[in-house]
Amino acid sequence: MGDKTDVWQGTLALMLLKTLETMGPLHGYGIARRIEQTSGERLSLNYGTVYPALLKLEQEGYIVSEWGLSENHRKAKYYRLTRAGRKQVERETQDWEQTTAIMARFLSPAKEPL
Amino acid sequence: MRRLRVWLIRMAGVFQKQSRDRQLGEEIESNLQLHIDDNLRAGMGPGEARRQALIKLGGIEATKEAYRERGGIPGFETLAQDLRYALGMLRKSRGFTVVAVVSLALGICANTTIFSAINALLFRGLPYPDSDRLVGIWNQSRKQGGRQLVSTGDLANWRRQNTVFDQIELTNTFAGKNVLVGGGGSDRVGIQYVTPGLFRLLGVKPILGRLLLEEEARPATVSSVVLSYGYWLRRFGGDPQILGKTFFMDISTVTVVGVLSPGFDLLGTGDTDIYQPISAEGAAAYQLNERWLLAVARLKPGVKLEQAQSSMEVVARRLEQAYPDTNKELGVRVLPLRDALFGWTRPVLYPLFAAVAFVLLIACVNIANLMLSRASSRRKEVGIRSALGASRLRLIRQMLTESVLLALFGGIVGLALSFWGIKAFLTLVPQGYPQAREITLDSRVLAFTLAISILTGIMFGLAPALRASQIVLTKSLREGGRSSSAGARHRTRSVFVVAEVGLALVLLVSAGLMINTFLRVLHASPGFRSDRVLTLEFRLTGTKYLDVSPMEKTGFDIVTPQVEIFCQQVLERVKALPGVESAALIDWLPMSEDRTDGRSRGFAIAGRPAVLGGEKPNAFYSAISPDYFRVMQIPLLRGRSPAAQDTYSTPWVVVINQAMAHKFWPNQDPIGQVITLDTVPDEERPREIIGVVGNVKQSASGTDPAPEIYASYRQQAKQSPSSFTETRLHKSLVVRTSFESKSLIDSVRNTVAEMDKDSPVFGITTVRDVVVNSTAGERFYTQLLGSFAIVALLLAAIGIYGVISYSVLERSHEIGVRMALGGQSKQVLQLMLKEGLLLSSLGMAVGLAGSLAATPLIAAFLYGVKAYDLLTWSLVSVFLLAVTLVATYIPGRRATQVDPMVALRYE
Repeated sequence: MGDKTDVWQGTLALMLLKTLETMGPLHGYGIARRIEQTSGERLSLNYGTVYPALLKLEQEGYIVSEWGLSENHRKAKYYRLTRAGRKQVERETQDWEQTTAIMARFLSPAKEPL
Repeated sequence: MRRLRVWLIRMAGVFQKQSRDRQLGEEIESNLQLHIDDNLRAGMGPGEARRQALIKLGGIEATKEAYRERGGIPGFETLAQDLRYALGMLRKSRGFTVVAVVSLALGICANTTIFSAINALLFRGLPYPDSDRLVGIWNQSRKQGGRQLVSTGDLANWRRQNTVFDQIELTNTFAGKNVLVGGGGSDRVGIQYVTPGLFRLLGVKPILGRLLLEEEARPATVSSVVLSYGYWLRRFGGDPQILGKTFFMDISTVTVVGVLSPGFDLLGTGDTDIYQPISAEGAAAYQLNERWLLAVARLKPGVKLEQAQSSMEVVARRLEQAYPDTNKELGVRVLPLRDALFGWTRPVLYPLFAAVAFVLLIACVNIANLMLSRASSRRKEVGIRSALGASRLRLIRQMLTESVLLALFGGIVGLALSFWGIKAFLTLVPQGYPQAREITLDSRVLAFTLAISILTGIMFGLAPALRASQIVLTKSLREGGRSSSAGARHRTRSVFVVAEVGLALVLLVSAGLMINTFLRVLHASPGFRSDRVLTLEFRLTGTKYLDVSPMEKTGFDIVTPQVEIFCQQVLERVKALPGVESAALIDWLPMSEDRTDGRSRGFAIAGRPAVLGGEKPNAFYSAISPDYFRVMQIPLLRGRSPAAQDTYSTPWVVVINQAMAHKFWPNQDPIGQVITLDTVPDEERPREIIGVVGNVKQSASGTDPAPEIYASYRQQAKQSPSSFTETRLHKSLVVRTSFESKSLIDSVRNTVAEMDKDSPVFGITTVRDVVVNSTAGERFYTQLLGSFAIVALLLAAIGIYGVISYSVLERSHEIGVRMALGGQSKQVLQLMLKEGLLLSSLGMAVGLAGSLAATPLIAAFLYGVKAYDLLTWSLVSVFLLAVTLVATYIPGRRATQVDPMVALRYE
């Protein structure tokens, strides 16, 4: 477990949105699983932390939820991206790429002398 | 926008907590099932599958809590939770809550009452349009400062020369008394003289008729007046036919042209019945000197007060050059109208405000003490809560919520009480106290009450909250464990008691000084005997008594011989009444309220230069009937008093008082000396001094006795300058009776009233009441400060009592050991008394230092007592010490009754 990383503050929302964008409507457990898998099991996530984050996104209007049936016929709450949510994914992705690019330059300054 | 949406949803979420919780529960449950299904598929046993899923989920409760916080608004929800908890706590310890709420309510009520009094005079805007641009202007001596009023000549000059005011008008500063005759009666009215433009300046509208016109201010045979709304209702029953009716005032005819709309009362005393116009035009040189009015002006838009002040200062310098005789060293002061009218009440009200603040502070300290004691009994509760993960901040917040809630309860009760507080205040205020009717609970007062409630809640809650939240977990949880912070808490409480005793002492010293003043004022001999003496006033009215026609030619009115005849008849008839021993007349009874100015006269002493030591001699002057000194029992020290045979045609004589003899003839016998009054140079004759009488006080707290001259009412000049005319026509009758009787009062009144229907008789009372009434100002101040001091004393005593009783409780183990080892109960008592004594003497030291700083604030109200009066200070200190000792003794005695066995077993 020691080599696993916790989810950084502020990145969880983007991961949730991105997961919903690629996977389509999904329940909380599914989203959490998917995030772990996508990270190549390198992220450790308490599934419980997903719910407040989803609630926040819902309040912000990026996702909506409704109850439905899962593949093995269990009742589950499904989350779906809204139009605003799609835009938000785009915007956040760009921001994030920009941030990582800047950080990359700082961390390996040899390539591009300042 | 998005943020707003989130907040709205969360706000709504506050009220949907339960359904949200249920939904979350279902969601987690369903997702958990999905996870377990997956785990089962991966080959785990059912138990293990569930366990792993739960581990992966993290704590369900923590998840729910995080979800809950996100769903609603956390601060709000914990506040609601804190409030619920606080309410529960307060309900549980009902005794504590009642004590705290009551003492807070008393303190807050006193503060709200005094603040609303201050608010009515000093904070609330005046009810006139553009009131922020209204100013008052008066003259001010460059050398001595102080307020000098304004003359009509000043107004004319200022109007011409100033560049900063839209409009300047004049009014007098109190309602002068006169008599209105006509419409089937006569009565005494308050007259306010105003320049006609004042109403326009203040935006006052007539409810009936019209306002005064500029041209009506010029002297005319018939003068126009407007009535105040109150007088119109009171005297004329709101008769709409009043317009155009004529009445007599003095001998001049006045016509009512209008009635003002209700509520207009610039001076705030409610004394003005009639507004009469005065003119700002005329012979300026003479009028420059007659400074008896206040100027009211409106600043031009955009002009600042400071600009106006410096601009007017330039004008004043210019006038000083132009009129060196009347304007030498005369500066000008421009200040907000409210301050010009009521600013003088500041030194009266602020010490009272300080006093009530002290009372509230003591109440705060007391409650803080109570809460500290409670904190130790709540030690375990706090320990458990913090063991369960409540942060220190959270605990402090919880406890502060409790104390602020408590304070708000106190505030609400206090606010309710202040309805009565204000009523009580109004019954105490002396007559003529300005704006008394304006003392109400307006929004500013409510805001003030809310603010001090919250502030006091934090003040008395903070220290106990900090202390209580400090408790060390393990120790407080151990059964019966003694907290290491108990000692510190005891120390805090002791500091509180010291502060409390100190504050109480400051109040007690101030109140003691006022009581001392009041007693002195009450018991100081006024210089006459007031028992069994009735008095009433009458004002002769009409052309029978006064002829003003020569005024324009000679500058004097003529007082007709009818005045003397009337006075003689009054004396004869009253003396004939059964029960009357003797009767006499004087212009104005000393110490009576309505006494107008115009009593001081200049005189020259035969054989001496007219100006002595840079000033012309002057003295108060009264016309009396021969028996006056006998009726009032004013001692005749030398010579004789005027007699019946001293008349207009015999040589004129005077009697002087001792102060006058001392001042002008310090080493000489004044009898036989000759003086000449300078009021009516043509007619006044040299008067020989035939007697010296004792000094009489002119007002209750009057300073050194002033020189006085008495002359027979039959030896008066027939001419009178108009400023003295009121004094010539007004008389106070004093009647010495053989027994005190109400029926006698009526027969005296009827006797005088029957003699002339047009001349009103009023002010019927006993001289003793006049003397007592003259102390109303001191009584007002003494009663207020005294009651605040008593509350403070009670609270301080409760405080000491509480601390000592708690100390007894805490030390019962130690006491038990001492007793078991053969200690005497006397020693134990001594131990407790020593603690109380130490605390109270420390507090007294603090209080004495505080009093040194505080008492000069009320020095202006003291009479016959210095601010550092040793006797008062020591008496008050001894008294406070005694009270604290009693407060110590009662719980201290309980310590001696501690059963050693019980105390030891308790451990």
